[in-house]
Amino acid sequence: MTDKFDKKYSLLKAFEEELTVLAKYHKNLVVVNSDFTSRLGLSRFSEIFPERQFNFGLAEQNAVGISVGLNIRGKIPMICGFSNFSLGKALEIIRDAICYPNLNIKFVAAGAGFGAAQEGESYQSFEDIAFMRSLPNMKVFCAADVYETKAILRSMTDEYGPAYLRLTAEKCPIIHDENYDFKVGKIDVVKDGKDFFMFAAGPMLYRALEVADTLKNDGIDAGVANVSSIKPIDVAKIMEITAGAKLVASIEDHNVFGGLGSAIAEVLANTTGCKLKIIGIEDKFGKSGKLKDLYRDFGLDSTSIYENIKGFLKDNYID
Amino acid sequence: MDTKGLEKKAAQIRVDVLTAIHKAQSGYSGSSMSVVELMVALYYGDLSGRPVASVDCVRAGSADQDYVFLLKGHAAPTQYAILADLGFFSKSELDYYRQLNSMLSARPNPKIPGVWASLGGHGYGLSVAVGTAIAIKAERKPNRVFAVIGDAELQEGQAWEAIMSAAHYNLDNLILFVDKNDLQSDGPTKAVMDLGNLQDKFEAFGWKVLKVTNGHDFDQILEATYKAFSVTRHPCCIVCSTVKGKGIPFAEGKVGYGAVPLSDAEMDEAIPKLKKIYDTHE
Repeated sequence: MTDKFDKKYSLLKAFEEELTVLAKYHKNLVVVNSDFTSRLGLSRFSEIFPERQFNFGLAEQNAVGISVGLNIRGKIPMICGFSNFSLGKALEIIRDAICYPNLNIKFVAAGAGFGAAQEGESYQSFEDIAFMRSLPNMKVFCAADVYETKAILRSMTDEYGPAYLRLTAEKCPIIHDENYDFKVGKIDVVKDGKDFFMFAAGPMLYRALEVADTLKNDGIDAGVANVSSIKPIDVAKIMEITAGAKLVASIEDHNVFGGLGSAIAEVLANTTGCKLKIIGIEDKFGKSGKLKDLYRDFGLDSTSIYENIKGFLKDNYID
Repeated sequence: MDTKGLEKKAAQIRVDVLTAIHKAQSGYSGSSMSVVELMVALYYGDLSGRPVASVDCVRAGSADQDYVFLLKGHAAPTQYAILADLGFFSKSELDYYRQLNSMLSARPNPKIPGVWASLGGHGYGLSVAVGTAIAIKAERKPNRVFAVIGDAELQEGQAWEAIMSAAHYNLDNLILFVDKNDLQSDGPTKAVMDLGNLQDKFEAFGWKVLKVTNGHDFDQILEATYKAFSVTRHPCCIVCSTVKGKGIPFAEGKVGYGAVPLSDAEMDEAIPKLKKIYDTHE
């Protein structure tokens, strides 16, 4: 694979930097977490804005319920944590007390995919897109790099309603720049392609670009679409891309059931006759390991994805 | 309103609640009955000339109002009947409780004037009340937060997370009433999951605890509330011994009447008795 992506930036660092800016403009924005201040890299923010930071200890359900109370008095809580705990444990409350009445409360969670690495399966999250997508009124976003993280945070706080930003703890290569404009419900085609298309998001975006590069050597012109807005999803763009193509693939650091691939399949089921290969975690739990080892072990490093796609293309008579 | 007035109001609310549940052919008659005096005391009672909870339907949602959270969401009709009586919405809405596309949902939701949060599930309501109280304290405002919880809901772990955090934040603007009717869906709470000594538990969690031996006696309720008002640095819990089905003689203390509407015959028996309490011209 290429060394094109040598400049990497922590998405959590991007999160904290943008929060510091947003807190100045949104006077009612408060950050809520459950004993994760230092783990999420929010220590500096909590020093600059001590009155805007609430830490409720290891009680994730209470943190979400309290956020509803803060919102009643006009605050806009941004609930931060790790997906499995801050979202998973509190799912009923998010559904009942936030999504049902459509409150202006935001969720930002690290732990997406393999990011937590050696912390193991309990911190890695392969199910969050599935359960958050299934909540009416909840929007689901996924950031690929520092600029996208910041742009999505800006959009989330500017717009009304429940929204969830999925972040990986992996340092991600820089793909966009400071002029990047994130649009809710829009797919951004980061690379065009005539023969084949890959839909990806988050840390899988740069991997998809690496795969596209390698496919070029095989004479296959592959395109890459960034689906950072998973819900609402850009139905029109998916239909446009798949109208021309016979084969597409989706790549995610999430279970193949219920995530990005499923979201795209839901669109395709009703429309074109395009075949979709869903690449992701094959309905398994995570494990402790170094990031590089984990991606390889689960077949989600760029080389394995490339082999997977080559097989798919061959099976479908494209060589 | 004096005690006699409150008792009449309680009887009137009981009639409205039972009628709404009967109309819907669905709802929690017995459960809604045990919180009537507590809710009537909050909304209509006064303490030395000032109302217990300051709510005003004309300025609903304004920043200086007090908050009343009915955490016992399945007793929603009790709160709805009171809000209708106070003018938050038309009384005719009660005719459509629990029916398709009605404003009055089975359990409270914040689209209903006078209701602040969606309080459907169990255990998280107290967190919402705590969050409101925390925000008020941070604003340095004097508003109060009142919450009414059922005893069985204290079996939920999250309730204790909220209780722990209320003491951590010194929420003396929060007063919690426990509707301790000792019964739940599957029987007596002692048999299903024994709550033990609630007073000890709350005190161990840093709360001040008061007891009301008869949770249907307005004088006792208001006396305890008055004492609670002067507690500082600690949230206050008022444990009220109540009777499920109170006000319906044949249903008092019975699990079976908790989660159902009364039958036509039962309504014919119960309603006239209640109407007699407030129809008299004393």
